[in-house]
Amino acid sequence: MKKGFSKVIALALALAMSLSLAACGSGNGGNSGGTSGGAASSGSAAPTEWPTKPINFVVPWSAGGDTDFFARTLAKYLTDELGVAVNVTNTTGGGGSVASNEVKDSNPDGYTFLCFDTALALNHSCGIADFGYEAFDPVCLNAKNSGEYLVVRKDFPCDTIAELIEYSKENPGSIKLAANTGATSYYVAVKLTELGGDFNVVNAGSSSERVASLIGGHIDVSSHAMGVISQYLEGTGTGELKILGCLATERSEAFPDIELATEQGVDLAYDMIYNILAPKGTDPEVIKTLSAACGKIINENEDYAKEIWDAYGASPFYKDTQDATNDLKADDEKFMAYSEVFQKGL
Amino acid sequence: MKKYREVVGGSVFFLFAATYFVMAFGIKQYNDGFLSSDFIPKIYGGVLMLLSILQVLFAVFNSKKGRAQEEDQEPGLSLGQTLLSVALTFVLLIGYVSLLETVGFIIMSSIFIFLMTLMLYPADQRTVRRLLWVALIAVVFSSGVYFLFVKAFALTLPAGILG
Amino acid sequence: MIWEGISTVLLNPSCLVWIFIGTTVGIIFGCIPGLTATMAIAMFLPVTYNMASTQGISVLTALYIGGISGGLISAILLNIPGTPASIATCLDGRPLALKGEAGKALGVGIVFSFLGTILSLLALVLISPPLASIAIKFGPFEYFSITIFSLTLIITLSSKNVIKGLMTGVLGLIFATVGMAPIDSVQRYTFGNPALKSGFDILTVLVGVFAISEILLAAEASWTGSKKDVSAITDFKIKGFGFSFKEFTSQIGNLIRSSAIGIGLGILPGIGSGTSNMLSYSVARSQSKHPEKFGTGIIDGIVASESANNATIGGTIIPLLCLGIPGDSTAALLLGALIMKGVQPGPLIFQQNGQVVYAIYTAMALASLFMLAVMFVGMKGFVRILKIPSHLLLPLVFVLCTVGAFGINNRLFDCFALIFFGFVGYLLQKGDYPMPPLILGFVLGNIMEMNLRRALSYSQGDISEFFTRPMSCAFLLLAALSLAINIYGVYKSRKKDSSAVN
Repeated sequence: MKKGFSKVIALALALAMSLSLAACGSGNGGNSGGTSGGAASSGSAAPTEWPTKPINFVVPWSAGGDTDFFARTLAKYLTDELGVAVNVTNTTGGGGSVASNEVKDSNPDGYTFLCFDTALALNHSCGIADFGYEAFDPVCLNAKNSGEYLVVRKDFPCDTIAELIEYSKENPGSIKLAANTGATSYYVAVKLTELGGDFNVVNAGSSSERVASLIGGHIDVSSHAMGVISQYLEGTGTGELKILGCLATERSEAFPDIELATEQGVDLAYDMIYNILAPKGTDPEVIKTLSAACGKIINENEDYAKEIWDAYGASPFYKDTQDATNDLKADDEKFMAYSEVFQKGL
Repeated sequence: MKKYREVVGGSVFFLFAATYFVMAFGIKQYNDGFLSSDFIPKIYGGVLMLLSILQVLFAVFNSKKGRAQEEDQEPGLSLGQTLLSVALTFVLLIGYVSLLETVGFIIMSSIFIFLMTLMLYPADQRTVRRLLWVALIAVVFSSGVYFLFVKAFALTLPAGILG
Repeated sequence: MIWEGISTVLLNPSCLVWIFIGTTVGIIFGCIPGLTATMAIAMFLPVTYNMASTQGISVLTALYIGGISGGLISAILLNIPGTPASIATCLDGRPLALKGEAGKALGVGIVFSFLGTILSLLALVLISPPLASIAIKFGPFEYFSITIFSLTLIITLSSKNVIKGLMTGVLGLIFATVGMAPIDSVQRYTFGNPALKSGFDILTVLVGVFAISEILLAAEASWTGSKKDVSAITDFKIKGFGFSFKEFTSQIGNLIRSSAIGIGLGILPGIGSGTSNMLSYSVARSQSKHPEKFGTGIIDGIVASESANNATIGGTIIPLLCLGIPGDSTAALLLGALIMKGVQPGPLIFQQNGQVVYAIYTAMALASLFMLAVMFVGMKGFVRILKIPSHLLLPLVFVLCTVGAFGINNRLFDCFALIFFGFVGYLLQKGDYPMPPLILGFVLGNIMEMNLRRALSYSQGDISEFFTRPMSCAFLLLAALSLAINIYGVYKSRKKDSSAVN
């Protein structure tokens, strides 16, 4: 009879502890539970009780990157707003296509969403994914970062992007430019090559890995969002890295002194916009409610605004479902124009 | 007997490696980077084929030399009996997982634990009293695990018929 | 700021309680095959959202430590490693248990896990910036060479037959190629099956090969025969931690060396604890005065494995905090939690978020202490698990493994993969092929290939750079050397055998 007695005690202890945990967890949710179902008032047949269980935001990149950051920050405030836990899972691989495939094929019950970015369109045009935004029901655009920056080590013999292209022509194939297939960095590489640059385009991993590689001298040039590199720049950090130029379409509010590539005469500009997508067939009421909740936080919540400003110098940016769909379509067309070039490879 | 085991083992590996190697030729080649994605699989396949040939050769060579062989043969079991038990276990495992979603975790796990324990019990120890105990433990354990993980830990387990 | 960080943890009773809970839950998840620390952390994340950043991170750190430490329990008692970090613990832990000294094995494992964590914590506190700058110097050439070195070292673990060890190692590498290729994400060996697109999960491979094959092996003898009962010979009266002070002092050198290996590998993201325990075991064996005793049940093997895998925790936290690069999937979750609390990893983390950093350190120290205490108290209870006859225990274990496998992605595919690898493991055992190289090949396969391809693209096809770079060259030479020494050793013993027979 004694067999497994201690095991039972251990199990009981675990059960007791976890039950108390569950009680704590639901206690948090219970306080602000009232806001959830109210929004759907147009008398449709759809269930008005959403959400009733935790929501999952799937991020296609590893933790620590910009997409992940914006998703997590939003998720944190959404948890309070919607009354259920909004969890973020990082499902990496395939340049983001593992996650996008997963969400695309998942059950459209309103509890799984994809938090992606401009790379969605790039995956499509690179052929990594055979679908683009149209395979989903877009919810909204939740952020736009202040831009991506082309970064090199402090002692690199160039100070602008234009100089970089010239330098690469003088040293063909010896400058290592980091790019990931299906990501915006790939678009940057293709464009720079189109404009006459001659680089050795290499793969160097995720954003954080590229920064480490850059500092370690393994690669020479890489593109990043501000949040990841600010600790390495002169003035805000150690000064090991310097920025050659900003790759966005307009100058950043937070860093107005940094030149745009276009201002240097280099025709390279794109915006990094983050989106939230739902699997096709998700209840439109759910999408409307989620979008409205996001909009409320992004536009009105001051803590949210402060967080994204402090980390990425980003201002609150939000576009509702219809506008989001239009923008996604425009992005898709823009990058699909390059699909032949992408698929030929560098 | 041991010689046959070595040869069989090596041959199985060789066949597997050869199939893997041939299939590597179907992998799409991108122009990114220096090596494409079919290179490494071909290397693996080729190396494994080579190794399996070496293994068989060595085994034949060693047995010819008459080296001391360590063998732990279970006493009194024929090949047929061994195969039967393993096959049955295999069927039980697959059956359990296949029916897990349809029937549900609690019921299926209880059935599985009961049947599997029954199978693993040495023939001379299968008394009715023990079997009743096992059945009870099976049900309590399965239910306990289900409630612990689904309710407390918020994991999803198939509810099946009961859900 | 240092004091602030430490005090928010140390002087806050609710934080202490939470760290205790975290450690205990971590141990439970770590010791049950099929459940992992990663799962535990994923589960706890929502609970930490509303906690202060220092408290939240402390809990998650405690879970991590508990999870890694817990793996030794199932490794010793069931011969099933709870995580890849405890594979080498099985090699001497299980034989020791079979000799009736399970208590000693557990005691040794627990104490040296604790010491390994503390040593790596010291490294973390005192020398993390220098260690981080070393980590940065490792580029794809060095990574490739280290993985080759690790693989050859593991293969020499299978001293009986190097060829067979190489074969299972390559088999592991082959299984790692299923799914999307690194760098260009081309689909390989997926047969159009969407589930295979992301490849196999390490859990299904590990647990399948070790645990499920046990079930099939147990089934072999069962239908008609009787099995030897382990519980009959185990000594349940354990004094203290089950081993003597003299035995403790004899292992100090082993402890230091193994912890160094653990820390060293921990700072290299991706290579981490799965590798460090096996590497440390191999090194311990090659440096030992009685290498032939390894695998028969001596504490040296357990010390090597457990100090290394716990020391890796501290090592992993270094690139996590200083570079924002997580060493494994569990650390990735920690990183996510940090980001959510507004902590951006990087060189300025000590200045900008010093209190969180020191909270982590404090949590690590406390969690290790709690782990020591909890496992000590539970030791006698754990050993009693051996009293459960294996014909009942194994099916129970399988059900738990299924829960774990299912929990990875909420689909049955992983459960089927579990059975598949169980079958593979069973066949390998029947054919007398060693299993650790398979696991290591699988764990390292993608890293190896990715770094090989990256390295060659950086040097534009120039292979010589593997040898002109000093660290890379060193590891490749070590790899070749270890292989040569092993082959020579086997050759020598064969000559001895055949001359003895003749």
